[in-house]
Amino acid sequence: MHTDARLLPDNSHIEGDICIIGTGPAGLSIAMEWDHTPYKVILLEGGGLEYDDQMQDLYAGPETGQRYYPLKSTRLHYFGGTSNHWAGFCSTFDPMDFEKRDWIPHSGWPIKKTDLDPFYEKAHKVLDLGPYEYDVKYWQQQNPALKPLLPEDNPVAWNKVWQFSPPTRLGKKYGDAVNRSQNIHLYTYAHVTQIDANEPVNTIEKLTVKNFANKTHTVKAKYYILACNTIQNARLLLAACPQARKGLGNDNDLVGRFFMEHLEVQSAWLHLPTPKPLSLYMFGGIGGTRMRCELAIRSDIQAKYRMLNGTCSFAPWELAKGMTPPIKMWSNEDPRKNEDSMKSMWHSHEGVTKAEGYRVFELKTRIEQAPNPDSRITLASGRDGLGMPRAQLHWVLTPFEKYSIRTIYELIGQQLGITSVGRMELMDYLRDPNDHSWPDTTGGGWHHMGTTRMSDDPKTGVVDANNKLHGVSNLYIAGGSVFVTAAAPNPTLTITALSLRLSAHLKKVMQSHIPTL
Amino acid sequence: MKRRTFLLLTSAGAIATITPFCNRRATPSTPSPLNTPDFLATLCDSRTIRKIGTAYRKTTTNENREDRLTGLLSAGLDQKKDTTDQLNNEIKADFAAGRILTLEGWVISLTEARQCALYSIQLP
Repeated sequence: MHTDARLLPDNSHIEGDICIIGTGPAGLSIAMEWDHTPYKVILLEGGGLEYDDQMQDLYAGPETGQRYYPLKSTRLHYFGGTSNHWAGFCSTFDPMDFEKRDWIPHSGWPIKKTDLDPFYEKAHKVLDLGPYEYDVKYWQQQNPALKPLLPEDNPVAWNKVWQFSPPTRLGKKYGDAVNRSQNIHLYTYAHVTQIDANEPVNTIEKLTVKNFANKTHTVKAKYYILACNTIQNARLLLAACPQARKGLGNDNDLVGRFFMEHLEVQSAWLHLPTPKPLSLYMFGGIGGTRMRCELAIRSDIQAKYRMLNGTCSFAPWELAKGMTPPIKMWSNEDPRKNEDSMKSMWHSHEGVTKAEGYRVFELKTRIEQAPNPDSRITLASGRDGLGMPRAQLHWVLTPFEKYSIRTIYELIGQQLGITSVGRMELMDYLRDPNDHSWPDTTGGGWHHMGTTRMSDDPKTGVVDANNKLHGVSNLYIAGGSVFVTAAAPNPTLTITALSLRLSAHLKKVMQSHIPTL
Repeated sequence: MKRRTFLLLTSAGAIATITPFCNRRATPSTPSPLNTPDFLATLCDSRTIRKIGTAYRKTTTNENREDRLTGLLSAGLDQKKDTTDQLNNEIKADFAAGRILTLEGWVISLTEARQCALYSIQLP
């Protein structure tokens, strides 16, 4: 069922067993797991059912460091969250992404890829993806025309499969089910502004929600799941708990730190002696599933060269040239205008791909950012329309990212030479290994991760392996903020899988208290 | 055919297209198997070859002489076998052994770099 919190009498009290804050991929995927259970689930959405610029403005904030998109425009503050404008790119993290890599400071999750596999598979259904198959051979069996650029047994590079969600707009997908649900209570325009804890600050007692109708309500639950986006999760922990002067869960000054993005930058050109379609790397469909591959570097080679994990995608240069980099295109505060600009540019560069293929391809990197405590979210001096301190982003890149991008193309370039498949030409900014500057085309993938990172040790992480806030018994955190490292793939699939895993854990916890599940 | 495509783009192309250059004796002013990276020349134009070659000569000053480059490229070549084939094999071996350079952005083999350098001297 759904209630607009603006229409409730002021100072209403809302109570339930579980309170989920946020209705993006994390919050909604968890909520739907609890439908038809005996537990009352309070689902709080700060915005409404549709875009509302006044609510969206709560996401605005100042930025320093590496140039970034306007914060107001990167996440959507209404039912369904940022799934309302995501592009649907999905792939799993690699096993090594979860491991401690001695050449990457602060790497290493307290969970393994195998811990997440069952939930990845389940997340496929949430995001309307195809079969849980990420082995390129599976897809080549469906379509033998999907030929790899390099031989499959190439010792350096491999073909990493991506699948594409329609893209699923989770608010639209689950809106009716939420409305019909007897135990999920959605409250829109219920923007959390305060999290009250008991005096030793080890239990959350209640939340305060507000809206622009001047209504203030309180919400009480046995368990709370903070499932906002990476920036808002950190902002709430830092700003919303009056009992925790340094910030909730922030005794070790970790909340907000390690903000990560995926660098998505044009990097090189692939030159081939004869035209090739490279169908394996183009957007294609097999049996209703859209998929393609990106070229990745094998884990042992990454270890040998002490580099970050990244992939490269292919676009025919004939079609890609002249496209404005997203960092220049996505410059408006209003996300709708940015989206229109992007769509307009894509349409203007659309062309019928030649069956015989192309001789030159532009290669674009998608790469993890090294976890960096100096890359962070803090509280700004200004306040938003509901009185909360705004979030401030200081995004920091290092020479490590640039070294890793360059190395990807040098390594693939070497393999192109060994196999006589083609040659690699690096773009200007990558040519001098001593040049650590970034071109003005450098941007991110609108992927925010890492501000409440996961670790078994409270000294190195904000949440434990079950997403529970260290030191607080009844507050869990879901979303990209718990990522320890960013891997190469877009984060939504992993966010959803981690959220489903958190939900399964919480069911066990609840069952131990109230054995009705 | 590949070589012919490249030669059309060279200053000596009009002459060279009449007879495939691999069958002609190399002279300082025409493309030859020694001064022309066979595979690379199918991918880029003569201007790029010259730029790569010039960049190599700047970074490897001890090879910045025609006779030096000719000597290095000719070393070990069997006169009875096709020069281009032998150099192509050398290029593959370079890549496999990690004898690779990035010049003007191009990730190429040492042999290719020397060929480009010789080209930039002989066909400036």
